[in-house]
Amino acid sequence: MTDRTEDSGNIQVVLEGAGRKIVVFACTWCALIGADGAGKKRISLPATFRVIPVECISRVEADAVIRAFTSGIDGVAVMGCHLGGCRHNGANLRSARKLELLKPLLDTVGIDSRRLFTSYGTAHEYHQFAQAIESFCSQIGEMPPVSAWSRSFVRAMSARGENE
Amino acid sequence: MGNDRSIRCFLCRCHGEISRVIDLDEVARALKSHPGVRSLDVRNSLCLEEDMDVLASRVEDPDATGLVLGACSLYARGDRIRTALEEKGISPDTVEVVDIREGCSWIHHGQPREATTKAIDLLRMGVALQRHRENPDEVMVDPVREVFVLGAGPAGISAAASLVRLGVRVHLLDRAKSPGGLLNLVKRIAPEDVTSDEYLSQKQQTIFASNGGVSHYPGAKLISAHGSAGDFTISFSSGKTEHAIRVGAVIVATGAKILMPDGLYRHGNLEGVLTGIELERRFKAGQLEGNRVVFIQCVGVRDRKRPYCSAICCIVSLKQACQVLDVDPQAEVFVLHRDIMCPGSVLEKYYRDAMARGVRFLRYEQDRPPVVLGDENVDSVEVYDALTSEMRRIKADLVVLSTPLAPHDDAGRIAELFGLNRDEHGFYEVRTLMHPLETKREGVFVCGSARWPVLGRSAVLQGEAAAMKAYELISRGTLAASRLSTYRERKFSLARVDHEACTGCGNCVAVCPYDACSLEKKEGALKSTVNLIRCSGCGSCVSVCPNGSIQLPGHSAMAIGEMLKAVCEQGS
Ligand SMILES: Cc1cc2nc3c(=O)[nH]c(=O)nc-3n(C[C@H](O)[C@H](O)[C@H](O)COP(=O)(O)OP(=O)(O)OC[C@H]3O[C@@H](n4cnc5c(N)ncnc54)[C@H](O)[C@@H]3O)c2cc1C
Ligand code: SF4
Ligand code: SF4
Ligand code: SF4
Repeated sequence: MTDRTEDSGNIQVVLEGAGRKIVVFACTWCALIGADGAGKKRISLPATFRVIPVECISRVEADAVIRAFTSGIDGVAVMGCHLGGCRHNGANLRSARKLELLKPLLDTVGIDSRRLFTSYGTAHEYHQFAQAIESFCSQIGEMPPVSAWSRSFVRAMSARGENE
Repeated sequence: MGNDRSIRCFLCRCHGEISRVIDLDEVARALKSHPGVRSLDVRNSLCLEEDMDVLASRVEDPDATGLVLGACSLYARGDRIRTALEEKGISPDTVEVVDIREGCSWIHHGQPREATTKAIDLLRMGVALQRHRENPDEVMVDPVREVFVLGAGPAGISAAASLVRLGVRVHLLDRAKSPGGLLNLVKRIAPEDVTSDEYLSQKQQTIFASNGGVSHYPGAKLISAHGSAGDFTISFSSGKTEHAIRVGAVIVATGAKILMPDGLYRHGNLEGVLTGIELERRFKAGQLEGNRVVFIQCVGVRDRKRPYCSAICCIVSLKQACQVLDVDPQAEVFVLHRDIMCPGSVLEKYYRDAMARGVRFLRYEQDRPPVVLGDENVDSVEVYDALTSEMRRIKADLVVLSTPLAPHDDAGRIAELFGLNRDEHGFYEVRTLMHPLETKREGVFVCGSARWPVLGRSAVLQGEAAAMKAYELISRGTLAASRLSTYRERKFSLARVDHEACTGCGNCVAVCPYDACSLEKKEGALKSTVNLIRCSGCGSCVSVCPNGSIQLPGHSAMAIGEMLKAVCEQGS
């Protein structure tokens, strides 16, 4: 992890990570509001992340996460509401369970599970969103890109699954 | 899927707020060459009328099926642009607003190059989404302009009275013989200080003078409930007859039950130990014997089993304490409490009045509750006074146990019939945050003590509010299922099943948080079917379907896959 007190080091990391691409699935009922708030406050954030709004993070299937990595993305964040504060009657709880199960699986196929960041109700406010994004982006920036081997391995595996 | 659409793009400069950071010329160049993009214009302010008109006129071109706008966030003007375009006849399903202001230029102002790259990605993602968006399925619903109200307590009566004044036909059902709910058992109602007849008479007049506007079924029994917002079928028996009615909305106003102390403090075994409601009965009958009265608060509540405050019992005891003094000004009245809860500008007065009139308050500790002494009759109460750290013995003729309101025994069945959730204590749950009357099931509202213990005036207030919610739903005429909601303007993308691919595994049925999916026989095999009125487009079903056979047409797996590809198109 980056030492937050070393400002110059921080910028370095952001620039180093400039080639990485990060996708953020943000629930429209919370994290997207946090993102909007960060925008309104014009908080300066690393430009490596792209937000995909979703109605609820329960929409984010394991397949979407895997596909992100095979497409060339280096970090995936899934940001939803508090477990227990879901607008869709607790739907995010099941989603959370699945995503947590997915993490060790990612490790086994050569994708460091730290590349999948999950947040439940911790990015609702602008400063929370900004903080979460900043630390995730810098973490991904410090890591090398997902190896070509892992990407093609997972791609091949999922293609086989599709053919069977 | 993958139907090729011709997308028209419009980029907004936002008078420099966007173009100052993002190089829109470069973005325009990158997008113009992008497959699927038919044309691209850069405007100053897409949210203003003149640009909006230009926008609307350009999309009259029949080959331009989708619109991608690079502008501000949905919460800023994005959603409003969509709505305004809809008024000009452009379906929101064909408009994608990509946030390149809050989500890009404003947060990357120090990095114009990166911001430009990102804006290109974001817009390509928008184009990908729009190209792979399919028109959603819709059903039109013409809500039945009648409402079913379950429970004729203050909440239910108030809901019925409000609705009937709006010209809505109401079916008011109660298992009790007479309307009024729990308040019927109360002598004088605090803080209004009136009898229950006086309390509800005006509303009851409205109801019963409504010339058939309200069908009242006392002593009736609910049998079943089916359907969804706009069209429920409810059957019940009243006397020897069975009824089946159709209504557009349901208001659950079943109140709560009074918890019996179940032997606590020797209730039932010792003469002179009463519950609050038994004291009300004595007041009503004018038979108050003895003038040394000890109230014990929080009986069977605010403990491990029922860790909630019933909110009404403190005020009820304060009222009753003063009533004892009304009967006999020489009476000695003690209130043994853990805390006194009487919030607000009106209720605090009861506390002050009671103190001024000589009612004595003594605080006990939860793990050292008072002990009631006596052989045949109550003799005294022994209590450890938490403030002075002393044991006290208080002579008493009557001990009044302040028990809470608790969920009815049949709450589970009612919840199942109407598709409601129950909270950790068993009361009916409402939606989170800003939707205090709406439940998991669209078109079913809860109010009064059914939701949470409340005093009469709050029950009335909530009943009236629930009436407005029901009215909102049934009064707008025919609506598309995606609009048939009282807690949001519009639901985007309702689920759709590909019946050929569905194997009937039932995963979607198991996870759907709104009971919108069900398995039905289709040509001999079980297939998932979506009730579009209940569906809220959350996407839970999509992520558990092993066959990819259930999708949100507006946000399909294909669309997300293409968006992910779009992110990686440049610079990798
Ligand atoms: C001892 C005591 C004293 C009180 N004193 C006061 C006071 O002074 N001031 C005050 O404001 N409040 C007082 N209250 C509180 C007051 O009773 C409640 O606030 C009020 O009754 C709540 O109204 P409601 O309409 O939500 O529910 P209820 O009054 O409980 O009415 C619910 C109705 O639904 C019916 N019902 C329930 N389940 C079904 C079913 N399955 N099928 C058909 N019908 C059903 C019931 O028969 C009942 O008629 C007191 C309560 C108690 C216990
Ligand atoms: S209102 Fe008073 S008596 Fe009732 S549970 Fe709350 S604190 Fe206890
Ligand atoms: S999208 Fe959500 S509400 Fe709709 S059918 Fe699927 S799980 Fe149910
Ligand atoms: S999860 Fe998919 S396959 Fe299973 S019943 Fe639902 S739609 Fe059909």
